[in-house]
Amino acid sequence: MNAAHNETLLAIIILAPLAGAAILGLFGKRMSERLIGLIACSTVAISAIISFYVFFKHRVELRDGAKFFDYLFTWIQVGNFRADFALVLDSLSAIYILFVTFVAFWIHVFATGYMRGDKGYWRFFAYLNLFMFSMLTLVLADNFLLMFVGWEGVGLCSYLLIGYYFNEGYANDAAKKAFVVNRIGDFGFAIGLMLLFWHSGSIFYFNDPARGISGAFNWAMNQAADPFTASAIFAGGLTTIAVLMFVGATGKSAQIPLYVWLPDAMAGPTPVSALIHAATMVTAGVYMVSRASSIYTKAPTAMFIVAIVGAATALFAATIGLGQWDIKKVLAYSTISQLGYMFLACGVGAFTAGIFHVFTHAFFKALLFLGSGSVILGVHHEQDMRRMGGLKKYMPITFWTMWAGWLAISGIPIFAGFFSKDEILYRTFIAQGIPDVWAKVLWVVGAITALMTAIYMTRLMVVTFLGKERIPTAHEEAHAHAHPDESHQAVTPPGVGPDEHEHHGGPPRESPRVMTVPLIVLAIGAVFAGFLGIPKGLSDVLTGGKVPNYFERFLEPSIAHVGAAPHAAAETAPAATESAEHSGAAESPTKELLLTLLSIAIAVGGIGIGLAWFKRNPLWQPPRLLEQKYHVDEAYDAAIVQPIKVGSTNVLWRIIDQQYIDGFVNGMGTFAKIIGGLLRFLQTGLARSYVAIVVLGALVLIYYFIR
Amino acid sequence: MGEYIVTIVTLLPLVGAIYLAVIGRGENTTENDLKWTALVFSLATFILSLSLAIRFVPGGGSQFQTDVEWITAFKLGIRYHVGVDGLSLWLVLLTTLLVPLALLSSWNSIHKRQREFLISMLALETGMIGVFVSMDLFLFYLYWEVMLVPMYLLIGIWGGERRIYAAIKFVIYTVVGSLLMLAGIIAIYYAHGQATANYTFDIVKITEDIRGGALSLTPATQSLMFWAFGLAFFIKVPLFPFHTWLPDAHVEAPTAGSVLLAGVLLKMGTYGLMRFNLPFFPDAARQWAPFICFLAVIGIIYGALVAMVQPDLKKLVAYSSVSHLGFVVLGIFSFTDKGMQGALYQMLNHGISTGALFVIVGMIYDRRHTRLIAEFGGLANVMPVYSTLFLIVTLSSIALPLLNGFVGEFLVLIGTYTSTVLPQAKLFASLAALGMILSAVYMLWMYQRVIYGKVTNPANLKLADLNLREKVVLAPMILLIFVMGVYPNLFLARSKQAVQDISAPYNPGAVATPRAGVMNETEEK
Repeated sequence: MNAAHNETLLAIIILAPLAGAAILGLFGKRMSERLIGLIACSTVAISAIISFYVFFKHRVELRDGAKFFDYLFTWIQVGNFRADFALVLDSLSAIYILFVTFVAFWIHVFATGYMRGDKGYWRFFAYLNLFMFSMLTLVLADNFLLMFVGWEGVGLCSYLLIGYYFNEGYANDAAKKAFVVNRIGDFGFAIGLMLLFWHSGSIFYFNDPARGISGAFNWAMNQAADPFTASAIFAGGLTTIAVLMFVGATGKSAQIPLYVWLPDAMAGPTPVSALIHAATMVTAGVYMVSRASSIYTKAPTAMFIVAIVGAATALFAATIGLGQWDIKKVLAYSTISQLGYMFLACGVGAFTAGIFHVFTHAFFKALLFLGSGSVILGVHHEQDMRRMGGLKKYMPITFWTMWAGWLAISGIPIFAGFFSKDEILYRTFIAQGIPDVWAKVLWVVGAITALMTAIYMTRLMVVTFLGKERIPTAHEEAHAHAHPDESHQAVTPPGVGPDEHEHHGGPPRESPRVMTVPLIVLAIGAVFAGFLGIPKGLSDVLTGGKVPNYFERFLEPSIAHVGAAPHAAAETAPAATESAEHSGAAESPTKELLLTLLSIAIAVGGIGIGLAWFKRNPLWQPPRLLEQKYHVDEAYDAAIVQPIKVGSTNVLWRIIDQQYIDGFVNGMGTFAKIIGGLLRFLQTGLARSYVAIVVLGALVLIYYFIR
Repeated sequence: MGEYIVTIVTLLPLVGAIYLAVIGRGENTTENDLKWTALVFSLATFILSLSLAIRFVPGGGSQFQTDVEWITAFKLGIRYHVGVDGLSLWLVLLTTLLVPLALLSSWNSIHKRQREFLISMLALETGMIGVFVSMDLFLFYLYWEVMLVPMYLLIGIWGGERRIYAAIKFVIYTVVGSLLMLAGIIAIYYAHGQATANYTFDIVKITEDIRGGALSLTPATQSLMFWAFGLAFFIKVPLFPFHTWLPDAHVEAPTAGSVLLAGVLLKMGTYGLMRFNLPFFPDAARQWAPFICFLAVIGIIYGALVAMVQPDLKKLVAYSSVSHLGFVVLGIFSFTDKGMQGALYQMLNHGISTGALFVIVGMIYDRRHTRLIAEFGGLANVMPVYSTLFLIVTLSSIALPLLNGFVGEFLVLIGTYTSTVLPQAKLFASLAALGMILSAVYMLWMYQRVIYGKVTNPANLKLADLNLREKVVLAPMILLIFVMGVYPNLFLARSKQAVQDISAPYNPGAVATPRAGVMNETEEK
């Protein structure tokens, strides 16, 4: 059953966007916008079509745990270290490539409209295609080093796209911040990877007998689980590996303490925020943790840390989201918060629920971001919600599609987010392997976050679309743009900045069809995607268990379980692990149903509170502390950035380098000069003194011998 | 004639230099004629050296050897023995590639004594190649010293304002090291002669005899000789705290000088460590490795932090070299095949990436006659091609995967991390990995301040983008940055045997044959 098949089509999935990036990067400058858009979208379409094709072609084998390899070439090989450029399709990567290519395609389409008239059109789509190559490489890689290639690659594209408006100082700062903060995470990832190699002698995930490769997960599954102690973190075993890798995940997936780059990343064009900073790249950390579930499930301490960080981030970011006025910043903090949910799921061992939330979130968050982009364009590059309001009548399609996204993220039944969020909360409540009181605490945090999510999203919808219009007149607009975010008023030099002709003011208007169609498609996803994974309890009650949780069943073979016995054939026997997640004694359909009802009540309550309050007080001033994001950026700057800068300049360079080391060297020079200067007096050129010295020397010698 | 190919490659530039010195003293010879002559000679050298790479047999040991009696006086056993092995092959090619590019990069930037400049460059090339191909200690030392003179002239004559200070500092640092090395060479010559009754300077023979046990030195002797050789190399690398000559030399040197200084000269230090210190003095190397790795890691972090705050572009790149070369030293003293392959690869990477960085800095220096970061900003608006190529080189320098820097840096890190010989190997590797973060900080910050933003300085508004010559200079480097990042096995396969020969004595238990990702339970620590 551990069938290792070949699937040579996988390479095309990653190479098509790479080809697109190369063509656009080299020749795009001379192409028309139409052609650029066509190339960019069609390469992603090729990836999407092939992804769907291989998925449906192999869906049965994949569900049974088969893996499909596509070996391209051996990338690095030195001694016993080997890293291949090879791809693998299993049920986890299969699900990922499906929604990544699907969502990305529609975002590409949207972007062809959104970026219309921009001087860097070709550059934008070259980067976007390059991002697709990196993201798909990350997902399809069959070893950790190739995953790292994709991992850094998406980071690069993120950097390039955040800093897309490169004349704007804030965009460049945000781009650099994103890259550097991600590098801090990558530092952890890299060390974790090396430790894994040190233990297992392999950085490959799975065995591939055809290439003579034994996988690291095989090694991990044969290990005894680490104890649930704090000291396990530093013991250098599985827990250490897992924690180090999670450091990488906190960087890429914007968790505490490395989340600070994501809100700033909103400086990029909105389709970028939708694609990279909401739907795909930022979920890479969740992917990595789920991919390495065979390691995490042997490391209870690491799991606990993942759960705590996830829950804390979820709540923390939700509170900040409540205090933001910039429509994209609200969504950014919302993304951080939702990512926290996903990690919470992974931390309590519900990896499938985490991935399910990744899946549904991709639809509704991409939708919300694109919707916000549509709004921003509609009101002529305004992002401050205080200067919106009443947009519903101008932008009905945008409103109604965002309406679906709003209900989905809030967790209203039948909308996608409801199922995944409910599943996570339930799994948290019944979590095994961590102290029960912690399970309940985490659940409470999750529930409060759910309430706040519903509230801040309602606030966003109400303040933007309902109530009175607060759109400034053309005269006022000049003042409004003192606000830095994506204000392109100052853009004068050629080549950058969005289309100038969008600045002519006038009443808000609905976006063109090239943008509304993707909104509609994603809205359909946001409504219906959740049906793929109906929780068991709900299904039991409503349909008598006839509708299975397709999603969980499909992912099953790719996910390890806490407490699974260490046996070599673990990955080859999905039947044995089937429904292992349901084996917990605490699990009961009644409890699940009760909790479901509770989370529905939370969602409805949150929306109710939001509607009641913000309809009356749309411009209610949130607490300053929330608006100013708890001053975390300032604290980092004062505690880390400035000391390093000042210390490097004033201590390392000016004192150690220039005074001590150079001082020593020059001192040696001076010393030699002085000695030379003294010796110079010996060479007087006077025969008398030479004779005197000779005589003196002779006397000394004589004295020495007759002594 | 095949066996003379190495000699021809080595001496052809010198022939060119002599030719330049004697021809066309008349008024008919323009500067252009001289430049073209020099370029043709260096290109011919490069093309000939390509045949070395093509005909090189991986795993075939030292190849294309010439071994003839040379100085017979006093029966000292001095021979003319040259050849190329896996250790030197790519370094020779790096040299022959960088010289024509360096000449081309300063095509219009040298305004005085053009002829002498070209002669110095070509003479320097012979010296550099000679160092790498020498298989005889005497010959090695000769080339090592010969190389010093043209470099001294390049900095001292065609350098910037403080060129005399920088040139003298460079020479004094280097001479202090090479005098000790001379003592070390004589010492190992006598020790080997006494032990085997065969007085010879032959590097291959001495290496074999030490490896085979015919010559065994006491640890105390080894330590002395290790440092006699080592100090010269550590200064050249430069290892912290012997590095302060480097920023001055780089800042003052003309672009072509900087390219060769960073691209090739620094590699001679690390090459020497791999050629002599590790094979000759295994006990001492093992004993001193923690101390040296400690200095290397300090260099990585220190170099990066100081680079971060430099206001001058060239100084920034110079300090970044201290950081990057720290990785190389760390990889060498990890004693693992991965670490050393990584180190060797990192030498090539650094030669190309940093060489390219100096070329890039030189390009805006030619336009603006300043290298201060604060003078620039917003160049992406006026020089888009330049900005793009600059970005690629920047990314290569911060070790982005699929570009060359990543392969070397990662191999060094994982080699160090898994070293069983080096104590505290994991700690060293983890600290060195901090360089990964810091390099991103200083490079991207620099890039941002030079390239991004609005054009604030009116002097930058009319800057011309790259011309054809400048594109031709950068194109091969950019191409190599990609090729070496995507398909490193092309290079690693040829250096594999040489590295294994060096690392094997340090890892007696290790199995020599590569077993991809396979490791038995029994081998776990």
